[in-house]
Amino acid sequence: MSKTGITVGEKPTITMELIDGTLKFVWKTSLLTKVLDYSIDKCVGCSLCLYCPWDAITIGPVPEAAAGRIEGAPLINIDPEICTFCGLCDSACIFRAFTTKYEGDGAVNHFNRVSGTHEIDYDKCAPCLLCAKVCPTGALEVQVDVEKKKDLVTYMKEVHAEGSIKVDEDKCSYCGLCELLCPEVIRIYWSDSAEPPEFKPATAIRLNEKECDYCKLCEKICPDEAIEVKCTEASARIIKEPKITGKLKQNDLACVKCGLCGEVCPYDAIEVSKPFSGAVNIIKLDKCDPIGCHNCFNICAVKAIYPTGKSDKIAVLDHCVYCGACANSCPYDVLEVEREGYNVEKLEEAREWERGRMLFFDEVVGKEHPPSGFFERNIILKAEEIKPGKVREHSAWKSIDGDRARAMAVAKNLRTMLDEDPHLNLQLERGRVDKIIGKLKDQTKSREK
Amino acid sequence: MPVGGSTATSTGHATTQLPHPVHFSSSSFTPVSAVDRRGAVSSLIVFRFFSNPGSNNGGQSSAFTSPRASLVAKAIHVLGAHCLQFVFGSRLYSSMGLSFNVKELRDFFLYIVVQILSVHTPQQLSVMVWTFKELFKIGLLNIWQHENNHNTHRSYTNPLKRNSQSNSDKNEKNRVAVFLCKCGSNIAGPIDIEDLKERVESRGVAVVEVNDHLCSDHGVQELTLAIKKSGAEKVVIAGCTPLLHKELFNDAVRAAGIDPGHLHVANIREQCSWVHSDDREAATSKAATIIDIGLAEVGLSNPIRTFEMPVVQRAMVIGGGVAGVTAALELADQGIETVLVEKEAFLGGHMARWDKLFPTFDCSICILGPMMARAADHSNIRLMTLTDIEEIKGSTGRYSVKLTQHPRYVSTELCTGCNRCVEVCPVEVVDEYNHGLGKRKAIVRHSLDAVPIAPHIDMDNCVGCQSCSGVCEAKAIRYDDCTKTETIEVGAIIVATGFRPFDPSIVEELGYGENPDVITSLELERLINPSGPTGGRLIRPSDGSAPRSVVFINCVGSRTMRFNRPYCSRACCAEAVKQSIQVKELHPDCETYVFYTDLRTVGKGHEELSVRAADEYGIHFVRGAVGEVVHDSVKGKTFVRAEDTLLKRMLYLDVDLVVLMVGMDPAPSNQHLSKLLKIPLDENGFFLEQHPKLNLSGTASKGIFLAGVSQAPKDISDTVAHAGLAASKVKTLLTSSTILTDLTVPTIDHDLCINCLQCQQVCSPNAIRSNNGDKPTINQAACRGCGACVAACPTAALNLPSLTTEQLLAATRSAVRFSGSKPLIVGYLCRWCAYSAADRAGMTRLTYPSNIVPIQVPCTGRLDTDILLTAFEEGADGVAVIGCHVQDCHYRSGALHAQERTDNLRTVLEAAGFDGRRLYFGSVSASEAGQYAKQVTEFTSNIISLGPLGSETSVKTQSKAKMSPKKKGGSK
Repeated sequence: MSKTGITVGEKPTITMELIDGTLKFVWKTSLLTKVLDYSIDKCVGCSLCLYCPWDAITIGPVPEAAAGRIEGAPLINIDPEICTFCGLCDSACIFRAFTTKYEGDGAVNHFNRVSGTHEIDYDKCAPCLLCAKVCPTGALEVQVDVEKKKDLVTYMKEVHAEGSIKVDEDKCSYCGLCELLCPEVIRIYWSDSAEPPEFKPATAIRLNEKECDYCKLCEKICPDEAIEVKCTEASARIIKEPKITGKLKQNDLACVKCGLCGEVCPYDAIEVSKPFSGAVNIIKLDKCDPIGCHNCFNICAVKAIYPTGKSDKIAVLDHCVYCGACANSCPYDVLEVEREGYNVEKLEEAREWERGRMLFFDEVVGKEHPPSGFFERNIILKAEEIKPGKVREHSAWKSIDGDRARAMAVAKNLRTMLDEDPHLNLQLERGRVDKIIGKLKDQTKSREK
Repeated sequence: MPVGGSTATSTGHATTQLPHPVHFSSSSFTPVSAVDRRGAVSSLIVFRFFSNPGSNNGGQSSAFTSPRASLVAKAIHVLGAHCLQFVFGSRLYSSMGLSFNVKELRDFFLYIVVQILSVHTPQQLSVMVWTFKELFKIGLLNIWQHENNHNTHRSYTNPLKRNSQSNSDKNEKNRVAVFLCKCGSNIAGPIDIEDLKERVESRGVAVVEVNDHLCSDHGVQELTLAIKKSGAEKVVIAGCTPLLHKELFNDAVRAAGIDPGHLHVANIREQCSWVHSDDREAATSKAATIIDIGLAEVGLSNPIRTFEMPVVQRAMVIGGGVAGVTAALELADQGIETVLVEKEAFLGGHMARWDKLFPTFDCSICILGPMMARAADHSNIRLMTLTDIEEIKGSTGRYSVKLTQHPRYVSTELCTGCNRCVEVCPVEVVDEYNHGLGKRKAIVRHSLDAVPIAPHIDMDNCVGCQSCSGVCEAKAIRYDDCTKTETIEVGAIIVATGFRPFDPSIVEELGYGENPDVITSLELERLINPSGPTGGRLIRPSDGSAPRSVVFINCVGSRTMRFNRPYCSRACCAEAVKQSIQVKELHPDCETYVFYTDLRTVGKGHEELSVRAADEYGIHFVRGAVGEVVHDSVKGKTFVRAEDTLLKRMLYLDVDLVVLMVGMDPAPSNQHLSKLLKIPLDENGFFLEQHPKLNLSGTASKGIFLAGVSQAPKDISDTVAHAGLAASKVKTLLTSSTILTDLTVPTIDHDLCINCLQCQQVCSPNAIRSNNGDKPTINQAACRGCGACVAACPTAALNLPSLTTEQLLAATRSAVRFSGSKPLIVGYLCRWCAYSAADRAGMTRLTYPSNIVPIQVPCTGRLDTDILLTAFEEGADGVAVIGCHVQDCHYRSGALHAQERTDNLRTVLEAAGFDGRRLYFGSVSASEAGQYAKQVTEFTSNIISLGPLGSETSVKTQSKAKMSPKKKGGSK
């Protein structure tokens, strides 16, 4: 559908600029300025905004970007001439790649958006280091202080302890508390990122048993019961309970509400409900090449899809947000993403037009519009061609003397005649023009004479 | 339908009947004074003494001894005795006629003694005997007639039995006059009026008059005069239904000095002569019973307590189409403040969408546009668009209407109508204004002539892009507009809700909804309208080309029982003619067919137009039905299979466009409004008019009027006339700045009240309430006078002055005792629905058995078990309680309580040995005449098959008796 245009008067001006990796679109009239910012970095190439009711957004080179063959290209194309600057794409984008802003008298900036919820139970949260390290969008920030073991254990007389200490690497989720408690004995080899399917942010955990005095504090502090400490002999000592302080902060703008933090949290302190519900179906498994092609693994913003290394080739984890980027990135159309439902974050003062905006969200999850009750027909009008006639140029049009002057005199004469004789005027009114015509003839005769 | 009988003053009856001689009773003679009587007696004795010719020696000795003198004396004596006898006798005769008291008895015996003393000769004896005979004859008759002036029911048991407490004063007060209206031949035909008159007179009614048309000017005058002359205090008028002329007769008796509460109108026309015209005897007998009921009720009547209520000087018009706008302008021009309420965003209704009107091809919007503009700017009109009605409280003269106004989101004051917002809006949705043809924007302005000019934003489709406010230089866009609620007080309401076009997609063989080239007449109107979706170009919706052949199919959704729409929509035939001419004007080479069943072009100039269409334009009018519209979707072709009944051949036409002339359905809001306004709908869903001939604009409620198609389908000329009628009636109501309202609030005797609060339970407007455990009190403003509380009260502490329990009991007793029909059924009909339905049955001349005797009650909830049981107690074979449908009760819950009460009573009756089927609870709505007749007929035949009252108990005892001997035998 094309946008209807203003025919008369001030028309809105539309501009597009690229500033620092953000495409800035502006729609401007003297009364209102609408700004749509599209961040190329944040966009993951998913299909949520592609449902634009005016088809102003088309998908860009997602497979190429996922394969790494191009860098820094926008993954969607926005046509500013068609775009109505309604902000529906912004409301649907869970990755916050868009920002819409309206400036002017009476402009409204409140819109509901599709969003999940993220709740941290601070009573349960230790805090530990795990969720902040695991979060795929870097939305979590944690500051942890654990009392050191050396401050907690005081010996009466001499330092002597016998026993054994073991750590089960499978159980350990790498929360990092034990290392903070007792860095002399425990050493965790942190890695840069946590990868699916286990999302362990470290490669290994090693113990220096020589330094260990089997105080068992690490065993107590471990939420996964991964450390086993046996103390056979120990001299008199007082062991205090360690205190953990700190704060976990969530950046709501960066958080996608995928729920990965909630899944890995050893304390079950985080509760997340996802923005969309749905399913990812593998429809052409035979075409999939998980070794040669890593497109879907690369593109997924929440690292929910990974190669299994087995005959099922790829698997999708529970914290998938059903954005559809993987399906867009696949060069062989192996994947199909279905969305069933959505959650809407209601901002304060929701306006009446949210009803109309909901229709768009319904389309994103594949729901059909309710029937209008009318027999809908489109009007097909064949354009009528109007050929303009040619206007002949004639110099005489512009002159004021000659024939024109003569004609003007005749008109003046007639008018004077009628003015002077009201009877004649009356005859004219009554349709009896013979008298007037007779008089005119007399005049011409007398002139000729 | 109804033959002119009720209004037959102009046709047929050219001779006017002279009024019947007035029958005055002898009791109008002047009373005899005691002095008079004593004087007569003593003068007779004196005369007797002096004129005795000699009682001792056989008649010869006298004071005057000469024989001539004695003869003269004898002659004088005899003559004088006779004269005195005559004088005295006639005086006594009149005194007997007045009343019987001890004094007069004594005088009478004195008179007899004197008579005996004065008899000498056999002739005198025979004369005396003859005199006595005459006197007694006349005297007895007077006694008889007098009895019936008593107002206690005991006198009805035995007409000869006198009420010993009666005296002359009491008899004077309870004097009743009965007026029988012949109504031309409407009543006098099926009913023997003379016989009826005699029957009424035999009941002891002193004044019985017969008149030809009591409702005429002449009749009313005579009525008033007769009442005054007769000195009657109470009046019964037997004629047509009280729902028709009660107000007229109220005024007449008021002019005669009688409170209208003492007037009873007995319905012997709609519910007697019109429905029992096949059996003269039964009709007359039933009429007599109906009048008896009236006499019984009026005997115990109370004056109507009235109070003046100010009428709110404001009117409301619901609906902003041509009817509503016309009515509003009429009222506003008169200076009456009017609120015009429209549920859509713009005025105009259907007429604003049409192109040209028949028969003169006026441009529709050119005539409606200026009217709408005037209405929007009129200083006396407040225009409220996007407004719905939530609640209506109150009554005639003072309605309290709660309105909800939905937000427009555009300020009507600031908008300049430049249309830039509509141009820039990016959202396109299906256009319901054009019936699905084409698209419209989310900011809606249907046409450039729309009133008000400000568009409105459809928030169901708007996405909030705010481009409209970005181009609105007048800064009229208001995103923060919200819903407003308001309560307005008005004195009268006009309902002009219009219609909804029939949806032909249910007529599957025509293909509407599947074949894009099958369109409705309204869609064609939009296509040819220059302000429509195609700019006035008539094209086929399927491919946009001009049609080479067009077929019009009439009566789609009208005159058909198949879709439950048996009525004719009146305007479509003329519309078909007009549209076919317009098609020919646009495309002169287009073959145009109109398939009709009848061509009902009845309006002024319509017939001429249809003749022009056939002759001048060469349009083919084919009388026949279209069987099928065949659609070949692959080739995009449409075929019409039809029958030409005049030429008797089948047709199979290849057409480009099919136009369905759809009928008018009632507006979907009618159901909801009917409940809010408490006015009934007719059987087709349109509002029910008060009278199909005399009052097309009134409704059952005195303050609510109908205008336009809300009452029945009609074309624009009739709509405007109808709207003018409604406005005129509103003007009349409002210009009397006060109205007399009958105060029908019940009375409560706190001494009898046991504070059970059952009355509070049944009262739907919560008008009777107990505050903090006190005895209940009644809120006069809220009470609607239904009497449900009176019926619910177990101790009869409550009573309703306008229809007391005693009146109902007296009516019940009269109904049973004086009815000649067997079986006898007493029918209690609620005034709003059942009574109206029974009247309608009469108007449509249905027949049903005459066994049912009707008694009108304000609501079936008024009937308590006492009244129903009294009917059985008096010997009725069946009792029918017929009222509104339970969910439609005029007083909300009255019918429901009645139903519960009759169900409970039925159970009790069954336990007591009665057959519960004798007590019937029926429901009809005011327009369901056929249903009423059917229910009455069925119930009567049920009662007949059940047998007389009590036959079921005798059967039981008989069977018991049969059983016991067997038992005895068996045990041995």
